[in-house]
Amino acid sequence: MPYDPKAPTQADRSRAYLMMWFGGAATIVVAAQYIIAPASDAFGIGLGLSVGSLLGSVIAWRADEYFRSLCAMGHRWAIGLVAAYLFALFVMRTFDLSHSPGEQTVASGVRENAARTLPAMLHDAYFLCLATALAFHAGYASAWVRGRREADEEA
Amino acid sequence: MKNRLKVLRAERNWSQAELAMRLDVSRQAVNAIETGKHDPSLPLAFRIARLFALPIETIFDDEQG
Repeated sequence: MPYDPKAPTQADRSRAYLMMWFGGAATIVVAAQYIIAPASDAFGIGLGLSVGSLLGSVIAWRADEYFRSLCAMGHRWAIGLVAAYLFALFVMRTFDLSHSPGEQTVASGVRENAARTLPAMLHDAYFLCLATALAFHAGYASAWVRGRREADEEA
Repeated sequence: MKNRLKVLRAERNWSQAELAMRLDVSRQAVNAIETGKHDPSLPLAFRIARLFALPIETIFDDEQG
């Protein structure tokens, strides 16, 4: 194998795993802070860690295949959450049962779609991004735990 | 998928970190393969087979046959 001076060392590879756990913890803290005290800017570093771990999962060409397989599961969960959210909006807009003909003729005539009466948080891009990041870390952790459980069962 | 990686490594008195270095992967990946948490890709399976100078099927057992 040709010598590559920029080849990742064992420490570099281990750091990627460690960064992902720190990123997951930071994302949980930032999401909790958003729900409990949305006006606070106390966890800027936490957000940085969260962003770093997400970028690390995407720019993972120097990581090994096990790390990439864990990240791939996280990405699947994140996309799954986005799909579930969009599907819920689709269902609400398509099969909106809150609207009745009376509202259209007697009231203002402005259709009140259930998708538009959701809590503001569910229309907040920052919250949805945090939820997607949480889904990613949950998927990553689930792949890690599932592999461990399967290994225990085989042993 | 079951494999003999741990036995082969022990026969050579290599640590997981040492084997990881020789295979160009992380120690966590070696541990995951040894414990059956992760099935290696074909290129990595070939690297493992070349390193131990053994056919792939003597290292990995898919329990299908």
